[in-house]
Amino acid sequence: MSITQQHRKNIIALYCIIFYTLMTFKWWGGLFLYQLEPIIYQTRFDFFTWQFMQTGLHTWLLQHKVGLYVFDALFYSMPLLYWLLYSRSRLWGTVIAIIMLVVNWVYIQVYTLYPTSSIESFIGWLLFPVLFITTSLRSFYFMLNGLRYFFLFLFASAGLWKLVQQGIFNVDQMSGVLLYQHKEFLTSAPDHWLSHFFYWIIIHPMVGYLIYLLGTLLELLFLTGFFTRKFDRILLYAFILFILLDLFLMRIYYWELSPFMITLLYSRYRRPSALR
Amino acid sequence: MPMFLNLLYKHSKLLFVLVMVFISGQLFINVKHGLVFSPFYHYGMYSQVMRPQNEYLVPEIVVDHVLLQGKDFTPWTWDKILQPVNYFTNIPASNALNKNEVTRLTPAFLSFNKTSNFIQPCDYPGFMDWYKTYLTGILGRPVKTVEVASRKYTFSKGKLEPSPITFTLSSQCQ
Repeated sequence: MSITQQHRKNIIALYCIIFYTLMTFKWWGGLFLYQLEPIIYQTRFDFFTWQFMQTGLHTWLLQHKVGLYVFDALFYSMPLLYWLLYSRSRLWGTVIAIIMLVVNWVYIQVYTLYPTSSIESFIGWLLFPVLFITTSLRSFYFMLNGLRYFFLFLFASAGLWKLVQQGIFNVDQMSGVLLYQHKEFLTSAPDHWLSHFFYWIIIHPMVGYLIYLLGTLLELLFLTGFFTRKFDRILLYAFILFILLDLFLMRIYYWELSPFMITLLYSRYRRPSALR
Repeated sequence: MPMFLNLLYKHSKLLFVLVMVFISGQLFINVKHGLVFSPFYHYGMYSQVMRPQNEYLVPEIVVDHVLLQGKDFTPWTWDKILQPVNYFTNIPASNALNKNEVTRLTPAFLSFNKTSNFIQPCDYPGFMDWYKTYLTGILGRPVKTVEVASRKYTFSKGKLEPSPITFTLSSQCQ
């Protein structure tokens, strides 16, 4: 079955549902810019970011709190605005998508300079507006599949890096990772059951190694997606499992990557004919 | 993948070029492995060899004479508490990055030489005032006193054991 305009509308709606579910969660968690009211930033090893920082926008916002409200309002209104306008006018949809691309880029550059999360996890919000800029259904199909390949690359490269950088050949890897990742938790609450659990893995390096190995295999599983779409549903479940295990074991939340799930959900649809 | 690129080429030369530029950029950044260029990043996810260390320097946050404990917070709230402290102690490294790398690697025609956009002072009293208000918001109760220091822990017999050696926050950012 070919992808249709109805699928496109469903994809946009699904994107909005994911975006606004996460938005609600972030607001509840006090993770909006206006709630964080940052006063410091940190330069990262990113050439693009250095050029962006030359504008001084990140330091201006530290002095002008009202700007934080404006930035939050812009970033969190874009998908809704796009959803409202796209169904009325394709042209306006494209215009808003271009604005969304710029807003997302600026917001995420600034947001991740402050004490929040690393910019890598926000890659979905940086790239998805490109999908919405497309006017024809065929271009939409190609960009959707392009994003799918990128998502596959993201996970597969994480698995391959573990081979290249040799983390996978180190039996003590998971013990080292857990100590580094949870040192503040372990030292502040040494008697908590989670600390006991982490320590148990740390002193049983083979158990930890097995977890690390399974994680690596899970990441490498995404390589299959480059050759066939048959296993995309399995990859979707693998991604959900990855998110849940990371949250429990590493206390890292990768849910900002969840819009990429859409690319696996809709990969079974073929490209539309040239006339549509 | 090659078939996808072939079909994309037939559909639109412009989209094909954009996608190829993106693929090339991503592969280049991955092969080079060092400085990144948004939106091209490394997705290593703990791929470097990591072994248990003998010593760890761990920040401790004491609010109204009680040590904050990770067990009392969700992972994202615990991150919210720790991240500003990590960022503050990292100010000298962040400033040094500008001095050593940003100015060296940015071509002259791109450089505006506005160091104020890259350099931050170690304003310890200002940070602590802000952090107190920040923690009040997170904890949902008035905060009277906040003390932050980093303690050296030794990893022995499968546990992190505290040592008497501590470093005040102000001494870590000079």
